[in-house]
Amino acid sequence: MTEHSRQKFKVTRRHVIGGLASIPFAASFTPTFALADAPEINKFIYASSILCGIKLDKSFIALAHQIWGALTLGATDKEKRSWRRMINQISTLPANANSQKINKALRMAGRGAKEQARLLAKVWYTGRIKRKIGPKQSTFEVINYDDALVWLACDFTKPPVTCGGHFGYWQHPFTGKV
Amino acid sequence: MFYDKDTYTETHTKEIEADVVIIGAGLFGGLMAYELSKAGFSVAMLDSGSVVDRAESIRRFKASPLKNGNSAYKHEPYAPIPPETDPFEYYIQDGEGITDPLKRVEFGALYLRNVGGTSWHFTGHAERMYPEDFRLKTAYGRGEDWPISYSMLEPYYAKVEQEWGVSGNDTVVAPTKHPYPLPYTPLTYLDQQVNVAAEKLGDSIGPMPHCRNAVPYDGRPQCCGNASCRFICPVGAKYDGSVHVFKAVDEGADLYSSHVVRHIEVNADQKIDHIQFRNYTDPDNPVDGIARGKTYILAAHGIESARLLLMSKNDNVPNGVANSSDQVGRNLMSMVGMNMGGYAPMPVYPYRGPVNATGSFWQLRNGDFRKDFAGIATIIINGGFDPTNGPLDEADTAVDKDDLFGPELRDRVHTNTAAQVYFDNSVEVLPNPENRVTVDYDHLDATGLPRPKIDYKIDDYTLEGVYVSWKRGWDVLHAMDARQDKPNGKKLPKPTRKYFNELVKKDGIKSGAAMIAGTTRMGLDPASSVVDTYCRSHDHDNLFIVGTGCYVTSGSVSPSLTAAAISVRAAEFIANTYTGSKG
Repeated sequence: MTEHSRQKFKVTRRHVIGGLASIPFAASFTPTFALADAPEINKFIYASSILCGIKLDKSFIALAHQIWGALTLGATDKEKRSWRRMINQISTLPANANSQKINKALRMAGRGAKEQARLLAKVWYTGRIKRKIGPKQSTFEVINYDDALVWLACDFTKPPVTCGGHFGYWQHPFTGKV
Repeated sequence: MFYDKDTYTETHTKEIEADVVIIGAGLFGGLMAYELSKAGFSVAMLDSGSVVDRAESIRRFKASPLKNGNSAYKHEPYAPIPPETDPFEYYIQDGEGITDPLKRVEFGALYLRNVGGTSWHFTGHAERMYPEDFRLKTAYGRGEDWPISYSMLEPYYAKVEQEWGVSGNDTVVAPTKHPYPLPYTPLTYLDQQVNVAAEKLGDSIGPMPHCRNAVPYDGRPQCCGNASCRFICPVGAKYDGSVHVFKAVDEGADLYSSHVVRHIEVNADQKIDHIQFRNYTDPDNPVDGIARGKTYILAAHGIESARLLLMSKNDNVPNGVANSSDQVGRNLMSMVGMNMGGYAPMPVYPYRGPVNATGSFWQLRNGDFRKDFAGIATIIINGGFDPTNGPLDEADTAVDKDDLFGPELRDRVHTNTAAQVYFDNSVEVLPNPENRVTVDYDHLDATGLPRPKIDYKIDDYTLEGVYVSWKRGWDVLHAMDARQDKPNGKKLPKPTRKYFNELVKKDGIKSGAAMIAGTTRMGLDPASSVVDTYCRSHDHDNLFIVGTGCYVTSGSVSPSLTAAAISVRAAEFIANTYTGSKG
């Protein structure tokens, strides 16, 4: 299986999982802001692709809205402007930018940009975001478990509670074929 | 065979009557209900929890940030359970902060209260105990002997294996070679890589017997490696107790879910007269009622069975039901252990196939070493460091600690996750009457009933087993050339006795296994035990108390199959002793 076809397979499996699961719990993260208030969503997706090192196509638009909503929940206008500054800066990078170039761009994006980028990457990768529930306590809120990017990064597996393949597939080393 | 709330309805009444009244529609209550219904008995099953809606449970599981054993299931205030976030919101245990395991072990065993019971999140390992587990005192001079033997149980093991659809063959890790109804479940690639290292140390890894379908069986589908069955199987390929609960319903048994039994009434003749329940089908308007039977079966697991017996006092049973020996709640056993993990130098591809495990170490499960230290069951966890959130945690670490973005981030998450190796140790504990469940009237649950109070510790025999298993795990990881962290290659700790003692002194040893046994122990002497060899109460001849509570010793293997075999044997005894009204 070529890298290209493997990527194609992943997207297909993601679509299948999403269609089967139809998990409504992410509805609470439906952004309450008008789209015009958000950074242009394609730019957000492109910057997210660079930060995460995984190409995100337009099938991620709905999830991108959810993640943007989760990242900016309760944010002030000033904080949103700061987010947009970071996203604009990252969007100037080529699609295959490495960690070194990304870190350099983040330094140019100003104070706080690094922490924002870290949070963004973690939320995309894990599908969860940490929330404070008390002065010293916090918990994770789950945005979307099945579409967390770790499952694309770890192409040898898939989100739990999802069929992995034929009985006994696990006895063989991962070869890219499921 | 699946049932859901759309296709299954219950008729409720304030007065239930049946030949056999079963408290607890779980793994053992369901099997007995099925056997007795087939034998012509009218059967009523009461369970404190509700019927599990599998689809709803999957949604709940995915929405849970923790995604642990109890995450998928409803937590009803009228049927409280120890929460996985903090079991001591339900359990009461004194001595917080004491780390000396000879004085206190934190008791974290989880269980469920619903139709099907804790089997919804059991491992699905269908293991027989070793013959020597039943005669530990005679064979190794430790613990006590059971009043029943492996050979007495053997036909019932075989029967349960058929009912559950156990997969295995001559290569599985088991005390004897015998036929299995289903073909074996193969080792994962990860297991095979661990085996290479284990063999360097004179050990080896073998496949385990499972009650997850290796082929379609009994109306349930074949396992397709969802890698979530430790928490919930989305397709029902893994057996759970609800299967036989609803088979019993098909045979004519009645199921009453959300019916919390609050009291067992004993009359002056020392017979169970009736039980009192509260029906929480409408939680805002609970309705009290009673259930009468000729025979009663208590199958509410090790904590809740003991709790109900202890709080059901009256003038005829001032110490509680079945408790003239003062043994109810005592000899609590739950396996302990210290686990370990590392990163293999090559991809081993965890997070594939059945979790918890497909492979187990052959050595240290049984043998003459048990004269000196406890038996050990070590399994290779197919779900890495955390079966549900492990890859997510790798991403957090790669971003926060290693400052990675872009392709380096993606590659790090892949490489590290693919290299995770993790071992789980379960170490045998011996019966100790000071390890016990009591009821704490100073701490009540939301319905006004006393919460369970736990006293728990281990002895030197078990502590030495914990050390040996801990050292074995690290030795195998060293033999794999595993590392503490992947990018920097920091070496694993040397498993010295000194380091072990430091860890124990700092953090203590915890009991986190689902096994909860011994609180209604089996024995021949009514002065030192609660039930006889057929699980009949010494005190009340129309009461049977089944489940792992009847265990005399714990062994180290997964406990459910043995308790199921004992339950089926008890059902056969009831069917041969009494006559059902259905003829």
